Amino acid sequence: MNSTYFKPILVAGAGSALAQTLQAKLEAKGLPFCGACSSQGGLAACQARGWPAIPLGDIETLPERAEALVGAPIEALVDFLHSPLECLLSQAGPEDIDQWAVNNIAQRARLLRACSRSMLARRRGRCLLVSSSAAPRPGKGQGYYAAAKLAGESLYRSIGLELASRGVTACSLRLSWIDAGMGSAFLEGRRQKAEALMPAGRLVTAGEAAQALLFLLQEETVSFNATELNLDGGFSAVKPSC
Amino acid sequence: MDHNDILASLFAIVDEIMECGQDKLTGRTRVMQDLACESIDLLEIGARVAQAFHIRVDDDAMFLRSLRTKIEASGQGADAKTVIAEAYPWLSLGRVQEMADSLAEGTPLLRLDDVAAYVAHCLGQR
Repeated sequence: MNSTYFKPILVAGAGSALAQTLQAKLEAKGLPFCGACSSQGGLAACQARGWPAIPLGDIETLPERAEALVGAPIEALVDFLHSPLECLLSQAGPEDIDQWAVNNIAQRARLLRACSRSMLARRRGRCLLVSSSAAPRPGKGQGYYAAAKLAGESLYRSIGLELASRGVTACSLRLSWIDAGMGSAFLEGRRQKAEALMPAGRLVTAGEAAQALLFLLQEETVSFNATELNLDGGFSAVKPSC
Repeated sequence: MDHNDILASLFAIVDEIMECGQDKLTGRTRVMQDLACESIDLLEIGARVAQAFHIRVDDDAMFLRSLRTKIEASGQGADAKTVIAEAYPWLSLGRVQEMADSLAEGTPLLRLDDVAAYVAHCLGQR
């Protein structure tokens, strides 16, 4: 079957390891994309691989800047943005909490606003949030992380509800532990225990996660809308045992 | 780009969204009453106007959404005409007067001419 993809694709948070895996797949498939990075390191990582990338910068102009770089209006957004604040909830400093809200909630809402308006003007668009299985079930110390992901899911769900009739759909993909980026750091020293908790006895791979995102970028999948999908190998179905 | 050019582009945008026929549209067309625009239609008009004219659109300002709130916030002694003129400097004095006069009957009526005036204002500021 010949699939039609939403393209070009704006990859927000393009410097992360998982985003890099996705971009490698997009490149291999010949799909046009543009990375947007919040850090110089992320920008350098993309540019080192010869991938088009721009700073996140002024979010309101992001769709236009991406269009100028890739030569066509952005039709899809894959959102990997994440600014970590991992500690017990009552442990975080007041200023850190303010900054967390700006980075993880306000910034995401503005990104989604800018991109969805641009898509709405053409009545064609697909918005995907890379979320986490920790969103509904956070571990201790993941309160802010989970709240950020849940807020993101809620924003994407609303876009899917409000704009689907005008050609713009959205959904979130909840990933479990993945051996890439932040996940790798967490898994250090815990890998065997984590694998034992997975029904298949192994973790979901970064390649599988990127492939799922690629799948969701196809026109045929737009009915996955205003919802959250789990890609966790069955982890969320496991009853904890004592 | 003069007012009529802007209005012609605006008619094309509105017609595409509302499927009302461009020949039925004039600058006096009332956005909410004559076209029965819903929130999603206003959002799309705002998005398309931004794309067509390469401007940043503030939906709240373009569609005068907070007009009544602004007048109420300015206090009882405030002159409605002054408040409207200051908040929406792209409106002509005639339109400001009309809006102030219509306050007693309800929310002032947004017309396509008002949207075109907002676009001209943004283009002038660019």
